[in-house]
Amino acid sequence: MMGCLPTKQVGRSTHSLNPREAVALAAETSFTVNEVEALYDLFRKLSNSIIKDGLIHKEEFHLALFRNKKTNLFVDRVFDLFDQKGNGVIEFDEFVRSLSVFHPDAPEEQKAGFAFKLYDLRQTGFIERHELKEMVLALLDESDLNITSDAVEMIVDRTFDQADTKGDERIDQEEWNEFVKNNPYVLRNMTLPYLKDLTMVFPSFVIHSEVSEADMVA
Amino acid sequence: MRRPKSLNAFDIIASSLSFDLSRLFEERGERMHFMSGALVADIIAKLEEIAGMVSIEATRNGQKGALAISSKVFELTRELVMVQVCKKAGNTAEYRRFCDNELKAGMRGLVVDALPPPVDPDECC
Repeated sequence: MMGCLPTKQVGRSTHSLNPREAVALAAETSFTVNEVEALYDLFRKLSNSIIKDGLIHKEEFHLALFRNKKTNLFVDRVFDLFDQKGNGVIEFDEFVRSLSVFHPDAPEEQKAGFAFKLYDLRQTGFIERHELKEMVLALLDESDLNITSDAVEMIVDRTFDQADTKGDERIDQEEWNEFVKNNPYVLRNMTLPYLKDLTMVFPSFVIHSEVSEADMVA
Repeated sequence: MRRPKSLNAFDIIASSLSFDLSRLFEERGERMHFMSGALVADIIAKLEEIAGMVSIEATRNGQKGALAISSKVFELTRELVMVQVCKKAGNTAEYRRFCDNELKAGMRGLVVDALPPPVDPDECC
Protein backbone atom coordinates (compact mmCIF):
# COMPACT_ATOMS: atom_id res chain seq x y z
CA MET A 1 0.00 0.00 0.00
CA MET A 2 1.33 3.42 -0.92
CA GLY A 3 0.62 6.75 0.65
CA CYS A 4 1.89 10.25 0.67
CA LEU A 5 3.60 11.79 3.60
CA PRO A 6 3.65 15.55 3.84
CA THR A 7 7.17 16.73 4.53
CA LYS A 8 8.59 20.03 5.65
CA GLN A 9 11.18 19.61 2.95
CA VAL A 10 8.77 20.32 0.09
CA GLY A 11 10.21 22.89 -2.30
CA ARG A 12 13.63 23.04 -0.62
CA SER A 13 16.82 22.34 -2.48
CA THR A 14 18.92 19.43 -1.37
CA HIS A 15 21.53 21.79 0.06
CA SER A 16 19.46 23.65 2.60
CA LEU A 17 20.56 25.17 5.83
CA ASN A 18 19.98 22.99 8.83
CA PRO A 19 18.32 25.14 11.51
CA ARG A 20 20.58 23.67 14.17
CA GLU A 21 23.63 24.61 12.13
CA ALA A 22 22.32 28.17 11.87
CA VAL A 23 21.88 28.39 15.62
CA ALA A 24 25.32 26.88 16.25
CA LEU A 25 27.05 29.27 13.86
CA ALA A 26 25.25 32.23 15.39
CA ALA A 27 26.43 31.17 18.83
CA GLU A 28 30.06 30.93 17.67
CA THR A 29 30.18 34.14 15.69
CA SER A 30 29.05 37.77 15.84
CA PHE A 31 26.04 37.04 13.64
CA THR A 32 22.43 36.51 14.63
CA VAL A 33 20.51 33.50 13.38
CA ASN A 34 18.67 35.64 10.82
CA GLU A 35 21.95 37.02 9.59
CA VAL A 36 23.37 33.52 9.21
CA GLU A 37 20.33 32.68 7.11
CA ALA A 38 20.87 35.82 5.02
CA LEU A 39 24.48 34.78 4.54
CA TYR A 40 23.26 31.40 3.43
CA ASP A 41 21.30 33.02 0.62
CA LEU A 42 24.42 34.83 -0.49
CA PHE A 43 26.51 31.69 -0.09
CA ARG A 44 24.11 29.68 -2.21
CA LYS A 45 24.30 32.25 -4.98
CA LEU A 46 28.10 32.40 -4.90
CA SER A 47 28.64 28.68 -4.54
CA ASN A 48 26.51 27.83 -7.54
CA SER A 49 27.71 30.58 -9.87
CA ILE A 50 30.07 28.40 -11.90
CA ILE A 51 30.20 24.91 -10.44
CA LYS A 52 26.81 24.01 -9.10
CA ASP A 53 27.84 22.06 -6.05
CA GLY A 54 27.02 24.36 -3.16
CA LEU A 55 30.70 25.00 -2.44
CA ILE A 56 32.66 28.15 -3.25
CA HIS A 57 35.53 27.31 -5.57
CA LYS A 58 38.38 29.70 -6.24
CA GLU A 59 36.98 30.78 -9.61
CA GLU A 60 33.61 31.53 -8.04
CA PHE A 61 35.30 33.57 -5.33
CA HIS A 62 37.23 35.52 -7.95
CA LEU A 63 34.06 36.06 -9.93
CA ALA A 64 32.24 37.45 -6.92
CA LEU A 65 35.02 39.88 -6.13
CA PHE A 66 36.21 40.62 -9.62
CA ARG A 67 33.73 40.28 -12.44
CA ASN A 68 36.44 39.77 -15.01
CA LYS A 69 37.97 36.91 -13.05
CA LYS A 70 41.39 38.57 -12.90
CA THR A 71 43.82 36.65 -10.72
CA ASN A 72 45.19 38.76 -7.97
CA LEU A 73 47.65 38.51 -5.11
CA PHE A 74 45.18 39.28 -2.36
CA VAL A 75 42.15 37.45 -3.60
CA ASP A 76 44.16 34.23 -3.52
CA ARG A 77 45.38 34.89 0.02
CA VAL A 78 41.89 35.74 1.21
CA PHE A 79 40.50 32.60 -0.38
CA ASP A 80 43.13 30.47 1.33
CA LEU A 81 42.31 32.04 4.67
CA PHE A 82 38.60 31.46 4.24
CA ASP A 83 39.34 27.85 3.29
CA GLN A 84 40.19 26.95 6.88
CA LYS A 85 40.21 23.21 6.26
CA GLY A 86 42.50 23.72 3.27
CA ASN A 87 40.52 21.44 0.98
CA GLY A 88 40.35 23.91 -1.91
CA VAL A 89 36.76 25.03 -1.42
CA ILE A 90 34.95 27.34 0.97
CA GLU A 91 32.13 25.61 2.80
CA PHE A 92 29.31 27.45 4.45
CA ASP A 93 30.60 27.23 8.00
CA GLU A 94 34.03 28.48 6.86
CA PHE A 95 32.30 31.30 5.01
CA VAL A 96 30.39 32.43 8.08
CA ARG A 97 33.30 32.06 10.51
CA SER A 98 35.67 33.98 8.24
CA LEU A 99 33.20 36.77 7.57
CA SER A 100 32.60 37.02 11.29
CA VAL A 101 36.14 38.36 11.65
CA PHE A 102 35.00 41.36 9.59
CA HIS A 103 32.02 42.06 11.79
CA PRO A 104 32.26 45.40 13.62
CA ASP A 105 31.84 43.57 16.94
CA ALA A 106 34.58 41.04 16.31
CA PRO A 107 37.56 41.44 18.68
CA GLU A 108 40.56 43.44 17.46
CA GLU A 109 42.85 40.47 18.11
CA GLN A 110 40.88 38.38 15.61
CA LYS A 111 41.17 41.09 12.99
CA ALA A 112 44.87 41.63 13.67
CA GLY A 113 45.47 37.87 13.48
CA PHE A 114 43.65 37.56 10.17
CA ALA A 115 45.49 40.52 8.68
CA PHE A 116 48.86 39.15 9.77
CA LYS A 117 48.16 35.81 8.12
CA LEU A 118 46.96 37.63 5.03
CA TYR A 119 50.14 39.64 4.68
CA ASP A 120 52.41 36.72 5.52
CA LEU A 121 52.37 35.81 1.85
CA ARG A 122 54.47 32.69 2.04
CA GLN A 123 53.19 31.61 5.44
CA THR A 124 56.57 31.67 7.10
CA GLY A 125 55.12 33.16 10.28
CA PHE A 126 56.78 36.48 9.49
CA ILE A 127 56.23 39.44 7.19
CA GLU A 128 59.48 40.11 5.41
CA ARG A 129 60.57 43.43 3.94
CA HIS A 130 60.48 42.18 0.37
CA GLU A 131 56.96 40.78 0.89
CA LEU A 132 55.78 44.19 2.07
CA LYS A 133 57.33 45.80 -0.97
CA GLU A 134 55.79 43.16 -3.22
CA MET A 135 52.33 43.89 -1.86
CA VAL A 136 52.67 47.63 -2.22
CA LEU A 137 53.87 47.26 -5.79
CA ALA A 138 50.99 44.89 -6.60
CA LEU A 139 48.51 47.38 -5.25
CA LEU A 140 50.03 50.25 -7.16
CA ASP A 141 50.09 48.12 -10.27
CA GLU A 142 46.39 47.34 -10.16
CA SER A 143 45.31 50.85 -9.39
CA ASP A 144 47.27 52.80 -12.02
CA LEU A 145 48.66 55.01 -9.30
CA ASN A 146 51.96 56.55 -10.15
CA ILE A 147 54.64 56.54 -7.49
CA THR A 148 58.33 56.51 -8.24
CA SER A 149 60.27 53.51 -7.05
CA ASP A 150 62.23 55.83 -4.76
CA ALA A 151 59.04 56.90 -3.05
CA VAL A 152 57.94 53.27 -2.76
CA GLU A 153 61.29 52.36 -1.15
CA MET A 154 60.96 55.21 1.26
CA ILE A 155 57.43 54.31 2.29
CA VAL A 156 58.18 50.61 2.65
CA ASP A 157 61.39 51.19 4.60
CA ARG A 158 59.81 53.73 6.90
CA THR A 159 56.89 51.41 7.66
CA PHE A 160 59.03 48.34 8.06
CA ASP A 161 61.52 50.01 10.35
CA GLN A 162 58.69 51.27 12.49
CA ALA A 163 57.18 47.81 12.84
CA ASP A 164 60.38 45.74 13.12
CA THR A 165 61.25 46.83 16.64
CA LYS A 166 63.44 43.78 17.21
CA GLY A 167 65.46 44.75 14.14
CA ASP A 168 65.70 41.22 12.76
CA GLU A 169 64.51 42.16 9.29
CA ARG A 170 61.12 40.58 9.72
CA ILE A 171 57.85 41.41 11.43
CA ASP A 172 56.57 38.71 13.74
CA GLN A 173 53.11 38.38 15.25
CA GLU A 174 54.11 40.20 18.42
CA GLU A 175 55.62 43.15 16.59
CA TRP A 176 52.56 43.24 14.34
CA ASN A 177 50.16 43.41 17.28
CA GLU A 178 52.13 46.29 18.72
CA PHE A 179 52.24 48.05 15.35
CA VAL A 180 48.51 47.69 14.92
CA LYS A 181 47.87 49.14 18.37
CA ASN A 182 49.81 52.22 17.35
CA ASN A 183 48.32 52.37 13.86
CA PRO A 184 44.72 51.20 14.15
CA TYR A 185 43.89 52.65 10.75
CA VAL A 186 45.85 49.77 9.25
CA LEU A 187 43.02 47.38 10.14
CA ARG A 188 40.24 49.43 8.65
CA ASN A 189 39.66 47.03 5.77
CA MET A 190 39.15 44.25 8.31
CA THR A 191 35.72 45.64 9.17
CA LEU A 192 32.66 45.62 6.98
CA PRO A 193 30.23 47.96 8.79
CA TYR A 194 27.05 46.68 7.19
CA LEU A 195 27.66 43.15 8.48
CA LYS A 196 26.20 44.47 11.67
CA ASP A 197 22.72 44.83 10.29
CA LEU A 198 22.84 42.51 7.35
CA THR A 199 19.17 41.76 7.20
CA MET A 200 18.15 45.38 7.40
CA VAL A 201 20.67 46.81 5.00
CA PHE A 202 19.82 44.29 2.33
CA PRO A 203 16.09 43.88 2.06
CA SER A 204 16.66 41.71 -0.97
CA PHE A 205 17.78 39.00 1.43
CA VAL A 206 14.34 37.53 1.94
CA ILE A 207 14.18 35.90 5.30
CA HIS A 208 12.61 32.50 5.19
CA SER A 209 13.29 31.65 8.73
CA GLU A 210 13.44 27.91 9.09
CA VAL A 211 14.34 28.19 12.71
CA SER A 212 11.47 27.66 15.07
CA GLU A 213 11.30 28.81 18.66
CA ALA A 214 11.99 25.26 19.78
CA ASP A 215 15.27 25.19 17.93
CA MET A 216 16.40 28.39 19.61
CA VAL A 217 16.36 26.88 23.08
CA ALA A 218 19.93 26.18 24.12
CA MET B 1 46.19 73.91 8.93
CA ARG B 2 46.46 70.42 10.26
CA ARG B 3 48.88 68.06 8.57
CA PRO B 4 47.13 65.31 6.64
CA LYS B 5 47.15 61.86 8.06
CA SER B 6 50.28 59.98 7.16
CA LEU B 7 49.82 56.67 5.38
CA ASN B 8 52.16 53.80 5.87
CA ALA B 9 52.69 50.90 3.49
CA PHE B 10 50.02 48.77 5.16
CA ASP B 11 47.49 51.58 4.80
CA ILE B 12 48.21 51.63 1.09
CA ILE B 13 47.75 47.89 0.87
CA ALA B 14 44.54 48.12 2.87
CA SER B 15 43.11 50.47 0.31
CA SER B 16 43.59 47.82 -2.34
CA LEU B 17 40.47 47.29 -4.31
CA SER B 18 41.09 43.60 -4.54
CA PHE B 19 41.05 43.24 -0.83
CA ASP B 20 37.67 44.75 -0.48
CA LEU B 21 35.14 42.15 0.54
CA SER B 22 32.38 44.71 0.36
CA ARG B 23 32.21 43.74 -3.30
CA LEU B 24 30.56 40.53 -2.17
CA PHE B 25 27.67 42.58 -0.89
CA GLU B 26 27.28 45.78 -2.80
CA GLU B 27 28.26 47.79 -5.79
CA ARG B 28 31.72 49.20 -5.59
CA GLY B 29 31.76 52.67 -4.08
CA GLU B 30 32.62 55.41 -6.47
CA ARG B 31 36.12 56.43 -5.54
CA MET B 32 39.28 57.61 -7.16
CA HIS B 33 42.82 58.39 -6.05
CA PHE B 34 45.54 60.51 -7.47
CA MET B 35 49.00 61.63 -6.45
CA SER B 36 50.28 65.11 -6.10
CA GLY B 37 53.47 66.84 -5.08
CA ALA B 38 51.71 70.12 -4.49
CA LEU B 39 51.12 71.69 -1.13
CA VAL B 40 48.05 70.38 0.64
CA ALA B 41 46.69 73.88 1.01
CA ASP B 42 46.92 74.38 -2.75
CA ILE B 43 45.14 71.10 -3.45
CA ILE B 44 42.32 71.91 -1.11
CA ALA B 45 41.99 75.41 -2.47
CA LYS B 46 41.81 73.98 -5.97
CA LEU B 47 39.22 71.37 -5.02
CA GLU B 48 37.11 74.04 -3.41
CA GLU B 49 37.42 76.23 -6.43
CA ILE B 50 36.45 73.43 -8.83
CA ALA B 51 33.49 72.23 -6.89
CA GLY B 52 32.49 75.71 -5.87
CA MET B 53 32.30 75.07 -2.16
CA VAL B 54 34.01 75.98 1.03
CA SER B 55 34.52 72.69 2.77
CA ILE B 56 35.99 69.40 1.65
CA GLU B 57 32.77 67.59 2.16
CA ALA B 58 30.61 69.36 -0.32
CA THR B 59 27.25 69.27 -1.87
CA ARG B 60 26.19 71.00 -4.95
CA ASN B 61 22.80 70.99 -6.57
CA GLY B 62 23.07 69.28 -9.88
CA GLN B 63 20.47 68.54 -12.46
CA LYS B 64 19.49 65.34 -10.72
CA GLY B 65 19.43 66.48 -7.14
CA ALA B 66 22.27 67.14 -4.78
CA LEU B 67 25.69 65.71 -5.58
CA ALA B 68 27.80 65.24 -2.52
CA ILE B 69 31.45 64.40 -2.71
CA SER B 70 34.04 63.98 -0.07
CA SER B 71 37.73 64.31 -0.38
CA LYS B 72 40.54 63.22 1.89
CA VAL B 73 44.21 63.95 1.61
CA PHE B 74 46.82 61.54 2.92
CA GLU B 75 50.53 62.04 3.21
CA LEU B 76 52.77 59.41 1.65
CA THR B 77 56.16 61.07 1.82
CA ARG B 78 57.30 64.60 2.50
CA GLU B 79 56.84 65.45 -1.15
CA LEU B 80 53.91 63.31 -2.08
CA VAL B 81 50.28 63.18 -1.05
CA MET B 82 47.46 60.97 -2.13
CA VAL B 83 44.07 62.53 -2.69
CA GLN B 84 41.00 60.38 -2.44
CA VAL B 85 37.76 61.62 -3.89
CA CYS B 86 34.53 59.73 -3.50
CA LYS B 87 30.89 60.21 -4.13
CA LYS B 88 28.81 60.42 -0.99
CA ALA B 89 25.41 60.91 -2.56
CA GLY B 90 23.82 61.80 -5.80
CA ASN B 91 23.53 60.59 -9.32
CA THR B 92 26.47 58.42 -10.40
CA ALA B 93 26.49 59.64 -13.99
CA GLU B 94 26.57 63.18 -12.75
CA TYR B 95 29.43 62.38 -10.39
CA ARG B 96 31.40 60.82 -13.25
CA ARG B 97 30.74 63.85 -15.42
CA PHE B 98 32.00 66.05 -12.61
CA CYS B 99 35.16 63.93 -12.31
CA ASP B 100 35.86 63.68 -16.01
CA ASN B 101 35.07 67.24 -16.97
CA GLU B 102 35.65 69.47 -14.03
CA LEU B 103 37.79 67.67 -11.48
CA LYS B 104 40.42 66.31 -13.83
CA ALA B 105 40.70 69.48 -15.84
CA GLY B 106 40.97 71.58 -12.75
CA MET B 107 43.52 69.37 -11.00
CA ARG B 108 45.73 68.89 -14.02
CA GLY B 109 48.40 71.30 -12.91
CA LEU B 110 48.72 69.74 -9.48
CA VAL B 111 48.72 66.08 -10.31
CA VAL B 112 51.74 63.82 -10.79
CA ASP B 113 51.65 62.32 -14.26
CA ALA B 114 48.28 61.18 -15.60
CA LEU B 115 45.13 60.83 -13.62
CA PRO B 116 43.69 57.33 -13.49
CA PRO B 117 41.56 56.31 -16.45
CA PRO B 118 37.78 56.51 -16.04
CA VAL B 119 36.30 53.60 -14.18
CA ASP B 120 34.85 50.90 -16.37
CA PRO B 121 31.08 51.35 -15.98
CA ASP B 122 30.54 47.58 -16.09
CA GLU B 123 32.81 47.17 -13.11
CA CYS B 124 30.81 49.46 -10.93
CA CYS B 125 27.33 48.10 -10.57
